Amino acid sequence: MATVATPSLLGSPDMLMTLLSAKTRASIQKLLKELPVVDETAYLWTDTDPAKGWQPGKVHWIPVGRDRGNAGRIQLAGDPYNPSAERLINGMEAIIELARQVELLNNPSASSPQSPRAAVERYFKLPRLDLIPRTRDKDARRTLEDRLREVRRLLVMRLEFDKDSKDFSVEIRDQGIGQAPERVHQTLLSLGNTDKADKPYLIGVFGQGGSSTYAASQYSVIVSRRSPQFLEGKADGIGWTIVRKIVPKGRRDPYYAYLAALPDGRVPAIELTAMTASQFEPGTMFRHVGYDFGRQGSAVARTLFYALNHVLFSPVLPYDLYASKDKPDPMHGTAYRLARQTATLEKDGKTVLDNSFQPQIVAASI
Amino acid sequence: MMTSGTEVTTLEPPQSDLGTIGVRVVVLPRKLDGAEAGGNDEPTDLTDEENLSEGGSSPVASYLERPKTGKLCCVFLVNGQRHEGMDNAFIVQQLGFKYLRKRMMVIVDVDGMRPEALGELMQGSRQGFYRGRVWDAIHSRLISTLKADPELQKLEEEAEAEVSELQAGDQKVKDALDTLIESHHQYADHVVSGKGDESGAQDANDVLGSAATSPQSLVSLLSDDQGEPSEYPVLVSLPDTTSLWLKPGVERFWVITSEPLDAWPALANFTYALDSKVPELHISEERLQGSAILRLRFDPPDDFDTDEYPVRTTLRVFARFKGYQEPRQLAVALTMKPPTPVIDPVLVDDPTFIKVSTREPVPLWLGGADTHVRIRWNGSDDLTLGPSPRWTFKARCMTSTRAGLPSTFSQPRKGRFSLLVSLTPDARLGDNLRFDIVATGPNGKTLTTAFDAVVAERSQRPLPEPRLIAGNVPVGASRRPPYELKLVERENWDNGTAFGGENWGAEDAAAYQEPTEKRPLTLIINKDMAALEAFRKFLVARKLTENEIKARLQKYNSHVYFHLYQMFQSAQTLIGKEDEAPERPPTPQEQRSEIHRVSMTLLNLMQVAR
Repeated sequence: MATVATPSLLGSPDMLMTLLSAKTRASIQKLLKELPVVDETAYLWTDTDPAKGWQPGKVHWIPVGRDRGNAGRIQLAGDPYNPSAERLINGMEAIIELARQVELLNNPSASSPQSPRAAVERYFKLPRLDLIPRTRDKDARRTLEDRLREVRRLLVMRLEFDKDSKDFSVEIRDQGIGQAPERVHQTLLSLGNTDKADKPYLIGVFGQGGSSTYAASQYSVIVSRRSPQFLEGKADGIGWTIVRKIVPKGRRDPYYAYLAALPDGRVPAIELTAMTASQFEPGTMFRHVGYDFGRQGSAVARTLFYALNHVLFSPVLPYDLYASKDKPDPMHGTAYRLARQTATLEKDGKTVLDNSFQPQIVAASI
Repeated sequence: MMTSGTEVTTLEPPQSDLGTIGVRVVVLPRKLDGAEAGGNDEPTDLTDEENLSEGGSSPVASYLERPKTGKLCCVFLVNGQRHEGMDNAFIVQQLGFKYLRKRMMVIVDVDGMRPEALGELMQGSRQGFYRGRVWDAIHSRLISTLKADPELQKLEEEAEAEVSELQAGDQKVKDALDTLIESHHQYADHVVSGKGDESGAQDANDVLGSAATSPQSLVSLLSDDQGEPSEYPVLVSLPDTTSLWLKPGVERFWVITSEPLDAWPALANFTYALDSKVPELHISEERLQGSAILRLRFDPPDDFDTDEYPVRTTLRVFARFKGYQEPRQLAVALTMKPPTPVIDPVLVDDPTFIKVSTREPVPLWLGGADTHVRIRWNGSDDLTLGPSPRWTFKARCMTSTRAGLPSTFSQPRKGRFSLLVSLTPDARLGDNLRFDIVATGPNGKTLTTAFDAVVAERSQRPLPEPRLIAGNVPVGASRRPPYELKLVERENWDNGTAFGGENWGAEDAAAYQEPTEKRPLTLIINKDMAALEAFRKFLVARKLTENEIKARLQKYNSHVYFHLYQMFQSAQTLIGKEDEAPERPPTPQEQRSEIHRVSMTLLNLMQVAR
């Protein structure tokens, strides 16, 4: 089994704890000072000879997607909420992919679900979420709501605000398939290298929506662990890295770079022990630190609830949002909230309309 | 929305099929006035588990991206993610539902579009759809689906009627005073005094009242085959209807205004009468700046004999406008009966019938928007829900002219749903079409129905016009004497209009001028009375909003005017009866003291009120 050559500090169990608790710019900067990081001016990555100037045993800044001109593909969002939603979409896909791979493990000839919703129905027994409040059979509705509660826990977004530094951090943690340390650079840190197009049950198409979160934050901490059933010969462990924006002196073309352990782009890995395994269940965590919401204070927490529900208007999977508090808000999308509201109003005898028209053909000639 | 496996089959699917869309439309009830004022910070659907909200002013505010500033009430979803949105200008301008714009959300699911069409729509930046031919096709289909939706049209009409009643203007004080007078005099004698603005230069006998009627020519908005041509203004109503159903114990509004609207200020008299008296029917009138509202309420006693239902009468409204000889009339037929109890249909998991409930032949209207054909069945709604529904529907046009294309079904709600039918450009007026509908369930079980339709054009009914007709007009007393409201300021204190012809002082609260041949009763408030001035400063110091201050001053004015009015009425009853009555008419000084006392009491009360 191949292993990632990771210096001891970078791969120590303490490293995992440090990463999981780093939620402010200051804590990340402190960590970077302690790590053997080669300054971005001392090592300049090139796609033709990435090993040139590489200092073994240290971590180096490599452009995300191994594309020096990546800023144009990352700085796409015009709004702080859309990138977070894209990350949630990534999380949903990881959860669905895990279910699909489990299915294939048991039945290699199982046909592929033809849409994300079909996949969710097949693997999680959930219909489109806004149909749940409209299900008239009480027992059936209660069963679906219970299932909704269980599934929600697989994907969590956590907003935290540090009063001293005034830093927001946004963490998206999924219990999906995760990535082996050796594959993190080819998957989570790729830009546009997607294998989703031939998987109709996945959501994204362009393979880069989530990367816009790098532009919305000062630092992004990425930690991922592959579900052990699907290592496909890769070394087990917990891959991690940190992403930040680099603005080279005297140049006006910034780029986004991550910490790599090897010239081929592989990220550092933490050895899997009984302790680290319990600290980080399979799946992926993206934590975006110093997130720019454009304004400070508690209003962000309130707005996030509405904004995410609107952007992910009818999400294929539910998720939990911890918006600067210990108790989660169940996030089912505005379509669900509307359906629940109209069902309640109808029960109260209010005049309300909630009418769905079934699929209808769109003809260009009409 | 892939909510159901409902299929819509046509004899020949369009060649340029770009895929399918699902449409969902939601209209929430209007918020209560208090909530609309912006004080409601909680979405009404929040559960204990959910977050606090930012308040918004419209019913859909908490369902927008940002409750206070969100605009996207029409969203386009790809895999549940919003990729495009439109604001309520679409609802107003494209769909024509002006009054639903703050209560309506439209959700369009484009997952069913063909991959190549989706590829044309979606942008890598997620900054909205590319607004090219695919977008245009989706947009057109959306409009066709919703524009002629009878349920939306009904809600729009109801909302329009509700909004009319909310209109209020500068005459708030006068309206409040009218209400006070009306309520005070509901059981009192009706009197007529004075001339002037309200009654116009008419003889007292001509003033409209609510007593007996006399034959007279009058003007109404009618078709041109009735009466003789006449001229505007005429009376019109909201809702624009010739009949109203009154449910026992439920108040309904009938809003009357003029056409043209700007003729309303020239209204000299306004009254109403019933063709046959219904003692249980209570009617109250409220005047606003540009309209009058009649509140109608049928309150039968507990022992009302139900065999008497339906109770019917006709309510006629009469008005005179200054400068026009003939009164204007507007009539509405009233039917009073309790609602037939709505019994939820018995819906089963193994349905046994499906039928078309729209009257046949169903008119399929030319003009672009889909026709909604109503259908009923006795299957549970849940049977058609979900990606793999147990029952699906299919519709076909059986006629070879291919003029009608079933486009979609709405989701069944309590067993009722609609088939939407669009017309091809080849459709010709008068074409007869036949459609069949098949519901397919488990084990191949099917239910079928069929309906005939005819391609029709909405007839342009000749617009009604003012017509002079013979009728009966109430004569007698006016409900209240005409009056004029005035304010006097410090600079005009020496005009001699205080009680007894005296000049005004800082202690004078108000006074009235008796009606004359040329002028109605004039009620005057001293705007610069010292105590009132102090009260205004007090309100400002309490940092009340401009509207709150205005409301309190309006309240003060209307009550002082009302008391003046009562003082005048009281004095009138004693004039000429000095020898008989135990009381003599008050002296100007006594009247001055009386209104001062009332004014001070009011101000003191309002200072301690919250």
